[in-house]
Amino acid sequence: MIEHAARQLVDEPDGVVVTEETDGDFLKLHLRVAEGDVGKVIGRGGRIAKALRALLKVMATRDGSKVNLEID
Amino acid sequence: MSPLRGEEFTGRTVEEAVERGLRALGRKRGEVDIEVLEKGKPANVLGIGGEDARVLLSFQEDAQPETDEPQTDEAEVPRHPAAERPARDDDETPPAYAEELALAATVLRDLLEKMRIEAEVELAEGADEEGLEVLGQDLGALIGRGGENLVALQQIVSAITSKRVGRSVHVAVDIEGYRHRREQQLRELATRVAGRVRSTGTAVTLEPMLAYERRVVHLALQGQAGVRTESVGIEPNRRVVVSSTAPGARGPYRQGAAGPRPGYGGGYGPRRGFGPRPGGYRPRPDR
Repeated sequence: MIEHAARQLVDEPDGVVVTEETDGDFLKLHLRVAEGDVGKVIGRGGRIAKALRALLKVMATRDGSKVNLEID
Repeated sequence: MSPLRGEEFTGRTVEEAVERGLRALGRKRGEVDIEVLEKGKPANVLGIGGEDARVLLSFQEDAQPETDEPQTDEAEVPRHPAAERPARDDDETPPAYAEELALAATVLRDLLEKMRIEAEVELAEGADEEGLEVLGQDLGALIGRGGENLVALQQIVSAITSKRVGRSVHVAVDIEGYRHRREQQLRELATRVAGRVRSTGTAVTLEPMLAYERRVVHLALQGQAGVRTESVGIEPNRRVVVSSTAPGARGPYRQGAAGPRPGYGGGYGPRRGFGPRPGGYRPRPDR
């Protein structure tokens, strides 16, 4: 979902890389985008990043897991 | 006694926020009480993650005429009420056209599919604006507490649609009529509270609301005789204060029936002391 959304938000979709890191039932997602696109996935005042995390949490709660999104 | 007034100011540092505030108020340092609400944090090398410092400057409102308008934020009443469409969210972007809405529907469907949420997306003609409506079973979690996830969904859909059409558009998203019902409730609440404020002359502070909810209240009471509205406090505890415009009316010093947390709104009301605030006024960003 994150990859799908991020690709549509950025100028360089090919620069979008999402990697997963699991620690028990704790899932950590790393979202990496092209340098010029960082602002696009964060948004003014972090709104987009916050919204992405909110949607991620909806999915995680349903699946009974915990997800963390890092943008780096 | 002249009323105590407070206003918040922000800056990269506490000092900058104070300077800015003093300039805006036309006051000297000795004339105001300075309370640091947030010290602020410098941004990291990427220029992100920093937080503004916030200060509350309070002062006795004396003979000096009130030149500045009450502080409004991006969620508040549009400057040209007649020309603007009502019920917009906290986006200052124009609503999407029909063909853009069709594209937004596809965007939303794709997104829901990726979230593995089974739901239908329909074009909906709301009371005051066209938008998208998500229909399905068990969508409570997608709406979220107070509709916060709904707002998140709408933001992402709006952002992707904007990117695709090449201009900034606002796509209104509703889920199972939630927003519609909520807005109706808010308008009813606004009307009820306005009636009480008019008859008692005492201002009422409503419970904390999301930006779009505050906007609904402001718009509902805009142009209504005898009352005026403004927002005070800091997200996520920003609240609408409905006060009387009658001469000699009591300011928002006392809470109405809407919330028993005096002095919590920030900016107005009795000055609270230093020390921890009940509940905290602003959570740390969840990164």
